[in-house]
Amino acid sequence: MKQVILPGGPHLRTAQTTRNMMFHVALSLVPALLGAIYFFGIRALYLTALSVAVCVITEYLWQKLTGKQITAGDFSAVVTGMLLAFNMPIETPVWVIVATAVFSILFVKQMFGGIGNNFANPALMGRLFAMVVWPGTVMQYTVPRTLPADAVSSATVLGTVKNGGEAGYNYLQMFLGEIPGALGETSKLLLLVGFAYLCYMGIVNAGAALTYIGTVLLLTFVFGPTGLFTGDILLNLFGGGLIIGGCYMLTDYVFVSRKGRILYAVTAGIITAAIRIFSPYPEGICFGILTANCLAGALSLLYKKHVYGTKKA
Amino acid sequence: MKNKTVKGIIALAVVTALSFAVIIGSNQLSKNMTAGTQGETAEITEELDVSGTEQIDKAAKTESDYVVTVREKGYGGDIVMNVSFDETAASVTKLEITEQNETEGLGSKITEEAFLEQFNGISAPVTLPGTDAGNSSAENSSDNSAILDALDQAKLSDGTFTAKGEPDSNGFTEEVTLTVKDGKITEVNWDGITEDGTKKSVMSENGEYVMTEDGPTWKEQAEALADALIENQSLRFLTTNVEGKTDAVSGVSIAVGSFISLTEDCLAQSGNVDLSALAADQNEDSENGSDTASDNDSAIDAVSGATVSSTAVVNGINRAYEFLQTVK
Repeated sequence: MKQVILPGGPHLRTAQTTRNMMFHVALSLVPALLGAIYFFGIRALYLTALSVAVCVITEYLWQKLTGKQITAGDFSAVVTGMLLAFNMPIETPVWVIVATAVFSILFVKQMFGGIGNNFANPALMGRLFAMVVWPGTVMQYTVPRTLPADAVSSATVLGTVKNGGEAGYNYLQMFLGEIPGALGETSKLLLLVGFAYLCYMGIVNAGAALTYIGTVLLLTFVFGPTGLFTGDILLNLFGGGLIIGGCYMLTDYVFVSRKGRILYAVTAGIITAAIRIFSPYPEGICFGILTANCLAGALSLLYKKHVYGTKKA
Repeated sequence: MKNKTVKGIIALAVVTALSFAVIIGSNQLSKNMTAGTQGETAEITEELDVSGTEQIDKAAKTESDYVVTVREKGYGGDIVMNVSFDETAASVTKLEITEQNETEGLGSKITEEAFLEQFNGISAPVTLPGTDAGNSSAENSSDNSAILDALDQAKLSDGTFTAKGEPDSNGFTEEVTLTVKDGKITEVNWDGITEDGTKKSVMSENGEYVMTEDGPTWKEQAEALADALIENQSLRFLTTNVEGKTDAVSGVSIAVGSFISLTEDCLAQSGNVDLSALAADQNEDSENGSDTASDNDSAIDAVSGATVSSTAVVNGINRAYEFLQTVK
């Protein structure tokens, strides 16, 4: 008798398959990708394509070698690859991208059982990996080529301000993306366009993202650098990677219940804000979300699980 | 569902296009604005003729100043910079690095404000202490560069040469032994010896003479210095700070003053150079050094660890300055 092995749930078929969903997520990242090409040049496209290719191939090879169901074509590796490249500066060497992509897919995603079973966001873990192993290369940001720049490389706006410097860019530039930073994170406008698309398509729920961003902004405002209620809200919102983090990294993991999701987002927000306020790191997004990822299990003990088949509480 | 997807994708495309319109529009607008403000202050009144000059790409006279674009060889390729001078072409008002390929994190720091702002208002020509940059004549030379020049130019004769210092407060008599073969330094040994013949190198190996708990021992540092000297074939690389320590050799944190003077002594023996005469010259220099001191207003601090890049910038400025003197 042939044994039937079911892939991971849910098993109810709707039009929203993983493949379908991930396709839309990938699509929603295209505006930011175009922005990266505009701001940093065509190398942005090459790096992103490389990162995506390595992610998909790694996933395929692993699944082939271990005899698992091949899901490499489900676009989730594409999304990971895109987000990974988006977190790297334009000058990142090719081999750093390759190594990080392999690490993300193999060690963070597949070894924990593939999509849905990984304990943390692969793209963020990849960034953390690259940050720890090659801090010099992945934290050396480049000024957009669209600016008449005399400086070639620079810290991010948040990083500069954290070290006591002048931001050097106005809020509009930060919002539109004309600031030094990683490939895909600089243009808040284009990221939000993509995110709005996802919301419209019903793929993500904006609640967690808004809660997360709100928590970070509130805390960084209250515990500002020069005393209570002196934080720069717009700088914290637009100066770094808060929007890409909240909209694309955080939502990789969603609790089923609304309450759980909010709890998770608040936790990530508190940790991110704490890192921005107290640590030498200007961003904290990476650590905040990854810590919340790891705490997800513990957090789920704090609230009653959603019971299927009952009326909405 | 299909319908919604199509609608969604179209909306995404349209909104993305609009966003780009905003981004590009804002970029153009701000460019025009900065161009407008710059145009008011720096209207080019005269393009200066740069034909026949090397490394000067462009030079222009504006109402209030001169701007010279000069190209200088750096560590990783050409460094292109715009040097602005005031209306008398005597002092630098602004320095911009427009192109460079220097080592990330080292030489590339020449583009940082901390380095660039040193040039605002500095009078040309500019000097870089500790190097030849800007020191066109010997009278500007500082430190022991006269000695270094003499030693570098001297032809070393083969043999083994030894120089000893005076016993220091710990009872060590420092000693450098230097072997020259075929006119090249092939072996260098630096050690301190106590009255009863115990060597500092041996003591440091046995842990009786400790520099830092976990750093390299005195012997290891002395050997690193000796190796660096053999590699460079000159003491010129070994720049020291006020404490008599050096950044030139990694891992070496001991004071290197006696090493330098003893090695100079050895090299002088080998090259038949009269050090005392040179030292006398130098004293004379520093005696009438009041004008040297005023020259030092034009001295700038190099980017740490990036002498080549810093030197190139200084040379570029001086080249631009000299060019202006010829056409002004």
